[in-house]
Amino acid sequence: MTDFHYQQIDDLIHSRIRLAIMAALTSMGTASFTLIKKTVGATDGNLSVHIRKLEEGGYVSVEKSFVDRKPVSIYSLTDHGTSAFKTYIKYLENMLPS
Amino acid sequence: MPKQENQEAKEQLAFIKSIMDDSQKVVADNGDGFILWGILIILAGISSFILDQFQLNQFQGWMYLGIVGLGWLYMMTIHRRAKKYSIGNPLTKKIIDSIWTAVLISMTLLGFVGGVSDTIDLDHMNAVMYTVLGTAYFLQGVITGKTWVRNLAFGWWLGSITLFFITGLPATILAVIMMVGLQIIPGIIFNRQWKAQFVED
Repeated sequence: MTDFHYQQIDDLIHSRIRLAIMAALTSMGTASFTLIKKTVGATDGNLSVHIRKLEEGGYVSVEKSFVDRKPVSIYSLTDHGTSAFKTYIKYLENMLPS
Repeated sequence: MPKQENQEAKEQLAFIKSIMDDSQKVVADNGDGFILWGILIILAGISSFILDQFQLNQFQGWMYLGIVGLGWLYMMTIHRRAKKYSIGNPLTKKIIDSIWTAVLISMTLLGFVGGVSDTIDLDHMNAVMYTVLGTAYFLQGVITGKTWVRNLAFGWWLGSITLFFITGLPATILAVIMMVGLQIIPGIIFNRQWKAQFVED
């Protein structure tokens, strides 16, 4: 048995939608707001709130630019976010019986 | 309690895996390379036909050099800069980029070395080129899970079989139709799909 405590889990990632955002960004590297929305199946408002929380936590960075003169937001995981995601996965794996 | 936690951990991991698997094949390219090369190859085909009709075949090499050079110049400059908007799984993107780079280099070699050494006659150059092109479409379609892109390869291969048996104006017309239908139009579709990844409603 490990000395794992479930309460130690990173709350910022543990929410279902934020976990989905983190997983999608880990796999895609970079993704637009629209692409993340399609991948995680969230509404605009819901996604905005959760992605902002990840940004504030320093897990996600955003680059604003223009495509066809329309503003676009491209998101990616920061180093801090990548390592937090890895730690979270490790926690989950440790919970499984070996 | 630990049993419940185990179950939850298992579910979370399965959820993460499913999201990551779904995202693995996502690649959106703006399609500019497809459209540009399509237009350039049509231009080269028509110019080649005209030069042949006027018995100016000594200029064929220069014409191809200019057009292919223009294509490569574009790829190394504007297309490279546009890459920052190319979104999707980095490994998938790398594999697809490598396939297209290898195919473009192969086609350039076949065109120039094959042409200059006279081992591939100009009448059947398109047949050889399109066979190679089909390979890239097939691989891209399989890797990105887009069946319609994979199926374009069969169009290229069937067309190239025909091009091995015909020459002159019918061959030029078929080559142009294939380039429009199997390269430029898919390029436009890629561009629309790429833009759709950015449009925030």
